Amino acid sequence: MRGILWTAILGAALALAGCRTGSPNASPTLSEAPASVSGFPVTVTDASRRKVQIPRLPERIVSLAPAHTETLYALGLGEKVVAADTYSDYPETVKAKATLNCWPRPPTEQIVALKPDLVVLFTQGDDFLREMDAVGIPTVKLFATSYAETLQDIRTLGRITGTTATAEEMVRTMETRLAAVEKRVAGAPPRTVMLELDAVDPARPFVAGGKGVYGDLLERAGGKNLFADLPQPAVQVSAEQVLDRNPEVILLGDTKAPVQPQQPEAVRSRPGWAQIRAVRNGEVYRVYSERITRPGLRLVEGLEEIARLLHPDRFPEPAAVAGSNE
Amino acid sequence: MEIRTEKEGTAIPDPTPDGARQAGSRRRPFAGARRLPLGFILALLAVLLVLSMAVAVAVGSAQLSTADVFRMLLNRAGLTRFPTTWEPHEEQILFALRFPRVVAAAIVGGCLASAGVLLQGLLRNPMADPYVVGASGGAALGAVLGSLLGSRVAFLGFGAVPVLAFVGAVGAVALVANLASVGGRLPIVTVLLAGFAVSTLLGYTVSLLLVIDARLQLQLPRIYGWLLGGISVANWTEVSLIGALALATFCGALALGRSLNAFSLGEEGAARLGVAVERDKRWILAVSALLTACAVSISGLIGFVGLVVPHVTRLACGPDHRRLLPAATLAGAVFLVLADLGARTMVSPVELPVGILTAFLGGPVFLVLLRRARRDYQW
Repeated sequence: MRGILWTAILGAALALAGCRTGSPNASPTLSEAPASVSGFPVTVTDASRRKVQIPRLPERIVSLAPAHTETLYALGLGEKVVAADTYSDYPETVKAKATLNCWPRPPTEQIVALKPDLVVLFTQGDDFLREMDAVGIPTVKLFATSYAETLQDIRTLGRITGTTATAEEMVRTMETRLAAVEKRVAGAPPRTVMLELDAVDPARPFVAGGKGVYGDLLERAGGKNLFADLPQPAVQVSAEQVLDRNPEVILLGDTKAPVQPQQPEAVRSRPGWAQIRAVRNGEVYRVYSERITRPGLRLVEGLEEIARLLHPDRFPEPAAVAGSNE
Repeated sequence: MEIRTEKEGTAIPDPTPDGARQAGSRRRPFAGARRLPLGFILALLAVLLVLSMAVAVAVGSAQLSTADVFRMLLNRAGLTRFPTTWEPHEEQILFALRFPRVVAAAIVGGCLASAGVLLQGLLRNPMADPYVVGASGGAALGAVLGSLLGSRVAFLGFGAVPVLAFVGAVGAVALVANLASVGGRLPIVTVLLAGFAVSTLLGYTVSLLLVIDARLQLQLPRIYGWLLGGISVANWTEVSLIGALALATFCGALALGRSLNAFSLGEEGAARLGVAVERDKRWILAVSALLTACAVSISGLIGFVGLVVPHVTRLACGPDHRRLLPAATLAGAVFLVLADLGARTMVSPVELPVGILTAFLGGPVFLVLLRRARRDYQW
């Protein structure tokens, strides 16, 4: 029966949807003046607008988001990470750690059993946060929706792990590289670009909307996001609209999708897509989805890659970091 | 759930109550429609279908000028040679995206409504819809497995999702029929209960897969959309294959109208009228399963059409299945073409899952009609 099927599946689906959108996307703000490396306890206000106190320097960290895992490793905290979620796959060494399947809910008991003194997460909902607060494990939610907020989150991660100096250095590098990109593309006419995130059903692809990290990257890289008018980070649109808005460039963020990966050559054979400017002019490119969908350290690589694809004339020299189209 | 026993079926004495029940017709919606000749009703619905399809082709997410749309259509039909005043991409929107989808919506609506009529008639249960005997669970499992297989599997231009959804829907109903079969007989109550159990099991199998497979978790928004229904056809080959199969199956369904009427007397009564009860029950199940499978393979699980359209049509033209079946099929096609038009345009550039539209459009209309019909409603 349909009703039962729905109870079975949609309940779970809605739970996930709640996780994704349930909490305000406020950028975390530091509630105190920067403390010295050993200056614990540290108190921060996180993306769930909770004040979280980290009483002493964390030694056992659980990361429930690939972006935060990457940042923690870059901060030199790989040794301290005791477990990470299923999607944390970078750097390679993280795969040796305990893996936590966080869907439909994070495994609270497993997490508590790991005796962490810090849990960082990205999307999980308020019910999980309440549980963690109840057991007294400092749990910080960091949910960046732009390049600037990503930098803030790296700063926060540095502060709550006693690696402020390294974090500041990372942020400075990311700011410098952002400025360099912005200088290169300055004055270039912005190119209309669609970033595709999933096109298993090419009649209604998921694309980057106006609010969110990827939309922000497109604009900063000298692009004009084709669906900037939509108030979601990622949004499912009609193919009619893609044809009608007719982007100059299509970026495929789904060439490494675990289910039905897409290829630039195959876009032409989608019904009607052969007429799109990007397809006719051969401007359909792959992008590394991990670099653009994870608001962490590698975001700047994604930014540089997109800028290079949108404005090749502004980047005459070969890329320092290998792009995905070579 | 209310399950009518076979004895209760005898409460309806007249298998084709066209003439006898005119009392109270003042309160009956569409009073008089039951006396209209079938040809007239069908012609009216056919005109409505053509009109709604014309509107649905002319209007969409992208704004094309209506004049251009009709010029493009006439040119394509070879009737005229208007100079090309439109952009090439507009022609693509019309012919590669919109037109096949409108035709697919009509096919899906017709399939779901006729499957609903067949199953409501067979099971003598007003809650019966095309998914009641396991098709939804089977189709959902097929679709989820299909999205795991991805584009590695293709069959006659179909992707893995439509093919496996089709196979899943038919397979689940076959399984239910097998499980419900007792000594060569197919008791209705057993069919309903087995359908419920199989659908539930398959549904939770899908849930289990979603929980344990990390690849599927990332697909959740899409799988959620599939469960809410959305018409999706890749090309004209898909539309014409499904359309041809649906049409052939529907012709088979028309031949079962007399048996369905006899079933309203209960199985004993039907047998007394000379109906091969067990054989026809299996035929009705098979035909409805095929019609449902045609629909779900290109549209996901669209709810409400297969439940409400048969009831509304029954209110309008009476419970005679020989009238009801073709009329409900056309009405279902009209209804889904309009619902899909709403789904494409209401929150453009985003699309609503069409299942939301069928519930919002169909629910209130149905409730109003039901209240006006009161006790006069027989089915």
